[in-house]
Amino acid sequence: MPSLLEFNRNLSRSLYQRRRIIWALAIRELKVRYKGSVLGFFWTFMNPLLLMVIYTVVFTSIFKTNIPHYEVYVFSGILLWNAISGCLNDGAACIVQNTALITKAALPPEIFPLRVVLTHFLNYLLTLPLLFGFSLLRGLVPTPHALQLLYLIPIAMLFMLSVVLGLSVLGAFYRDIQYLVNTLSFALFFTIPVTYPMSILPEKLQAVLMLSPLTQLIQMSADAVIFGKTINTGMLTATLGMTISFLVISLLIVRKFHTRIAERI
Amino acid sequence: MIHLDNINKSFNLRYQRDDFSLKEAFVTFLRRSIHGLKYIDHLNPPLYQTYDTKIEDDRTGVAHVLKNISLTIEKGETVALIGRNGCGKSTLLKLIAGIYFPENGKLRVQGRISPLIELGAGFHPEFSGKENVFINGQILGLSVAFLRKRYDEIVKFAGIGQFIDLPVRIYSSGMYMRLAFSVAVNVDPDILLIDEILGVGDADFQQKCQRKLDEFKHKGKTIVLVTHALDVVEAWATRTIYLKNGEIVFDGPPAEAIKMYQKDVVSERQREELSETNLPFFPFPKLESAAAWGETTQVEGQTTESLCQMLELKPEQPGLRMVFDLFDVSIGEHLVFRLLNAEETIILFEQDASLNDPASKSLSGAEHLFYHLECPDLSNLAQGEYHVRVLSQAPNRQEITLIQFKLMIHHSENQRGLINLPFKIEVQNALPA
Repeated sequence: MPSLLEFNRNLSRSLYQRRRIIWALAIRELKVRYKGSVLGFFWTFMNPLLLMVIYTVVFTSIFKTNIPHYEVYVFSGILLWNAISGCLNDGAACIVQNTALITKAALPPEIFPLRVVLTHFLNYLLTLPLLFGFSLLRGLVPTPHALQLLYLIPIAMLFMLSVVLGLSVLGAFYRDIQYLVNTLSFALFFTIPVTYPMSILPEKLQAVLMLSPLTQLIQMSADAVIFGKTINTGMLTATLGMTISFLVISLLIVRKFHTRIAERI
Repeated sequence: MIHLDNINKSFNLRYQRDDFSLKEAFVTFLRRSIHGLKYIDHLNPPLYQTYDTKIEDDRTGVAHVLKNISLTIEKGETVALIGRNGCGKSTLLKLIAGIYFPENGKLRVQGRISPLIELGAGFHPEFSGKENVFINGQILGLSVAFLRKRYDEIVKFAGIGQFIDLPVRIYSSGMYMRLAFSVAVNVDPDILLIDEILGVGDADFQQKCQRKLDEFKHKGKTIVLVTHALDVVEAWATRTIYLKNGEIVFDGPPAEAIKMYQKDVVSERQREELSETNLPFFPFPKLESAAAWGETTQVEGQTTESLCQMLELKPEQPGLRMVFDLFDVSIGEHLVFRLLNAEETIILFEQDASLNDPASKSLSGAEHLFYHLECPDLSNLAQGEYHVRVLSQAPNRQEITLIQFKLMIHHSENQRGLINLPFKIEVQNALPA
């Protein structure tokens, strides 16, 4: 077995060589989602918009939250969460769903996790103008701090890739992983500050939840877009550290199983 | 160049069972770690069996699909892989394509590969033919710029007209395959791997395909082809590998490989037929291997008990005489003598006689009727192996074999073909008058 560094290098080379087809497949996937529906891309906005309205109504009128621009906060969180949960759910299924491309067209299975992350974050990018438009409409003018998204999004993508890489291979070997991820991601939604800001929680709980890289990502993006703050370097380092840990785990999984993926799907 | 050295490949079919899940994997893991033993599911042993590979280890469910394969394919060769279903042809192709990984041994492939294993694998039903041409082209490794340049040509080659702008889900399967093939032929690899994709579309389209493939061959591409179309193999391949139960049994000229393969198929079919028929005449006792005409003719085969009273070989020249005792005429209406080639694919000669004709009726008082069959001169047959069958045929064409045997005919060394003609070749130093 090659060393992990060497394996990582080979994998990266394989992904780089196939960058065009990965891109083409990601774009196709994006088109597929809205193909055949009259309103097409409009549906991308509809789901988060509706959720935002529901949460805003529930939290402001029932729980009497007095957070300024709560609706923008929720909307921003849901958009990013959609990208994250999309990556997790599709990631667990992506190799199985592309059996024909792997066993018949000889595409290496490793390209599909990257395709999944690309598809969902492209979708996220396309919804960003709406987020800023909505924010302006509610009287919240984005500050230059929003530019921090320029490196925050690539970091988020890298983190998701490090998770999805291993998840996709496990999902190919054990079909139950898909269902497990579906259920878990639903639970995960409530552990991260999408519908509520971190500040409403007791401090002890905050500290525990902040260990999750997903919480960190949501928090950092809210800092950039809503609160107009500079991103906490400590948090960023923590996220990067988690990315590397997950990447190592994923690489170990892929290295162990990748030669047998094609015969197991 | 493709180089395989002692390649083995087996599949663990246990994982392919429906009830294989995380739970089972977990239980297996626990049992293995607790007992330090290999977990064997005694309650549900897997029962997988392909056409001619029997799983060797039924308990672990491991199928050894390829065994100790060593071979080298040089640049520019056109190699055909033949063999029965399940013999490992496609697995071998997928190993070369890099889809599967060998368990042990060395596999080295030099050059860019285009695997054409299933056409249109990258087609998405919701997209139009045009969109699919581009995406499928890219999957095959073609650039968008190249596809744009060749687009009109691809559409024309596929011959699907305005359908190109409609989603492929409404295509007929022929249109689908033609479009997929038209994209695929644009690849420009060093090594082309083809699995059973020939035989797409109508005769005209097939001819177009054949021309394209000839082009590849003339450009000096290495081609590895898996197919059951033996005529294609014979006409087109420069080398043929016959795989049987995961092993290479023959590697060489196509004609010989095909002959060997057909012989195997026929003998297997016969074995099956013999074991399937449940007629009271069975079992066939084996005929004593007989030799006559010096060392020139041999007979070996099987006969139904007591029916064939005599089988005589004429000593002076190749010829046969048989006598049958058919006291129970109801077994059939006709007695048929049939001479076939060794593979039993061509009937060289057949003659039948009604068993109820007036001539035999007039003898109806007799208890036994003896039928004499005589074929006094077989010298017109070329040298080689033949198959003789005498059977009783019912009005519904159902046949009961009474005797079958192999006939070997020997003539001169230099003769080949199907028939023997008087022929002479002489050397003279003057023009014949």
